[in-house]
Amino acid sequence: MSTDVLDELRTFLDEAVPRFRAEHGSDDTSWDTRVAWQRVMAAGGWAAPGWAPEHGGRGLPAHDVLAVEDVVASYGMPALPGMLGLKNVGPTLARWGNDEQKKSLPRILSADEVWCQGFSEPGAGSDLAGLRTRAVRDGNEFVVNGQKIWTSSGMRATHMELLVRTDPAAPKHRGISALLVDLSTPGIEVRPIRQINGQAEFAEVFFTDARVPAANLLGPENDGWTVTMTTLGHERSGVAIFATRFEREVREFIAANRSRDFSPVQRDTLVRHFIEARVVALLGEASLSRLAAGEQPGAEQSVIKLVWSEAAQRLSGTRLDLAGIEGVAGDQQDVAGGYLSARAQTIAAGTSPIVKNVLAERVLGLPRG
Amino acid sequence: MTTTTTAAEREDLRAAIRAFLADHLDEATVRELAETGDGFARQMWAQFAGDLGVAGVLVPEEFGGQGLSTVELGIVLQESGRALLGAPFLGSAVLATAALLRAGDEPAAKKLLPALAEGSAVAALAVDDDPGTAVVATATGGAWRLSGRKRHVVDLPAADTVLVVAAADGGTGLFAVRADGQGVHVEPSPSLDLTRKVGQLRLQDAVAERIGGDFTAGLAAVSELGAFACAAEQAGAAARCLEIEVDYAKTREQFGRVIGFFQAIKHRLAEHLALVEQMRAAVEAAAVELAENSSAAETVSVVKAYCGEAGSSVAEGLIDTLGGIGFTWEHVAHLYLRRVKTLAYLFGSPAEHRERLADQLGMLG
Repeated sequence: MSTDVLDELRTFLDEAVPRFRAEHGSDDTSWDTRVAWQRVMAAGGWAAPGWAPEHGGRGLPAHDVLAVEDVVASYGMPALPGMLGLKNVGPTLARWGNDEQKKSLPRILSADEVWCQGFSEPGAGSDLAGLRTRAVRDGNEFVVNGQKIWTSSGMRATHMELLVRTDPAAPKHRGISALLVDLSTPGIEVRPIRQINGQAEFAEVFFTDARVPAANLLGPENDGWTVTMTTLGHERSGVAIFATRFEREVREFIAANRSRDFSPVQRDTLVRHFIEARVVALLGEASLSRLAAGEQPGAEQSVIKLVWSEAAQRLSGTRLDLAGIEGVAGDQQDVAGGYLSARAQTIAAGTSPIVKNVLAERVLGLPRG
Repeated sequence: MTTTTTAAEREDLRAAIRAFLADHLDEATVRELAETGDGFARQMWAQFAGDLGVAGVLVPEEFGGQGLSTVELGIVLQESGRALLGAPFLGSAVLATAALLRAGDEPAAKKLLPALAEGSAVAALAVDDDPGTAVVATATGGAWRLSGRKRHVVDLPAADTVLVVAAADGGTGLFAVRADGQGVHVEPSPSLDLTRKVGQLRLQDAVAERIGGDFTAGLAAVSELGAFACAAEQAGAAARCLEIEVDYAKTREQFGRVIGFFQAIKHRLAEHLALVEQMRAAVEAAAVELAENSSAAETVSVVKAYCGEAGSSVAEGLIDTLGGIGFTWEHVAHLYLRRVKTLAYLFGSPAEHRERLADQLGMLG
């Protein structure tokens, strides 16, 4: 990428970051602080540099977006709170939305709308296409009944990209539609899910005769699966970025701990983590270059998801192991928390067994079970 | 040297090499060569070197080669691992050639490289000393003589010139001896890898020609290239192992279904796919880094350590997937296992490269 872009970004941050910190302090766990930061970034044109310029982005390819995020992180600034909208829903709206629906794009940038995705259901996790939340057309509205679960940012979101079944008679991939839903609509109840680490980063969302305007149908009716795949495609290219970040995380962990008196076995374990992380990052970089060259995400996206999630999960175990009794007896609670959080790595966005099935059946061409 | 070819040209190169090796090096030929003393198909090598210019991939055009980079070399190595190519690509076209180039001795390069590039001569590089009888170089009246033993010399039985690394002038020297010279004895070693011959070199007051000056940096660079070459061959061999087991899983029936229907098999093959994709990506990244920088120590150690273990996992898993037939001498699987397992220990084992990484990452104090 041209270094001009990053120079422009640094010039922007050199001025914006100190001013922001002076005004808002440094508590990055505060939702309001993070929203305020997203607004500063949006005003500078940096909230979604991968979006097309007409939507307020810069049209940067995925690996350049990564470079931008790296620079922002190097200024100690937090991830943007509206990330699901910026990374997943926004690009889907840009691809499938009509002019009216695209009016959400600037509001996603400014965090006036915070979007989540209503995909998983209690009975439709790995088998997403088996979802059963129903939407029945009634005049100019859809009447929605059902339940969504594991909705990221669900407790903070104002809007949801919701997958519903609109044709129960059709084969399961064909009777699905995508609806754009204002979560303040009557008949929608959002409840937090308390996770094994005690936190509540996900919600379950209940729909009881919730009436959604028919104009909020995104893309063709009963073709919501295709619309979803656009979104998941963005999620998967995000995985390549996670892989390159994971390498940096491992490198920094080793650098921060290298003066510790590790046993040869502990040292070798850390080097093995480094090798795993470096190799999956190299695969990620190759994937990002192919995306930048205009190629579609391929098999390597699923490989990266599988390998990265398992490697990250193992690293959390090693961190706990290195902390020893201090990790479990309350001296290093963040390490124990990280270990618990990492259980989700091999479940979220496709469990490891499902990803292996996908690789075996779609890439290697083995018979479907 | 940075790559000068386009992606399309590199794919053409890969396709040309794959087609040539499919025509000239089928499994029966691989097995015949394994039974010979030097593992060397002289006529095939002349064609491979001559028609495809493969022996001169690293040799600059002024010395009769193609003057290409490690990026193209990586392609040839992946294909040679895939086809179980034996002598003398790795020993002559990679290791000995790189040593000559690194030594920076113009007259010696002029004398040896054109013949190596056209395939009319074969050289090997002897690095590892036999403990207790390390090779000693002595100069008397301006003439060098070598005595001692070298082990694990790749493609030594096929070589007519042996480049020998030995202590000299308080540093490291590179020397050339004739394989048929007086006081030069070549003995093949019973390598695990049946498709690549290694040998032991015994030198007794053998006349040697010194090549270039101090070779300390040269040896480090050639060792790095050697480690990369092993990993690249493993990536190609592992990719072929995966193809063999996928084909088998689609045709072998048990319990009334092809075994590829069963998730236990699917998941193993998916894990192997992940390993193969990562090996390839890592090797290609290392090839680019080596082409653009004189050294890529960290990446090469990562790749060598990774491919050493991943390649072995895939080849071991291939035998497991095949079941009983995979344990027979007649099946090609063991030839791949022997190849990748041997490569894992040439130019530094996975454990040795992890120790180097520990050092580079500042963990050794």
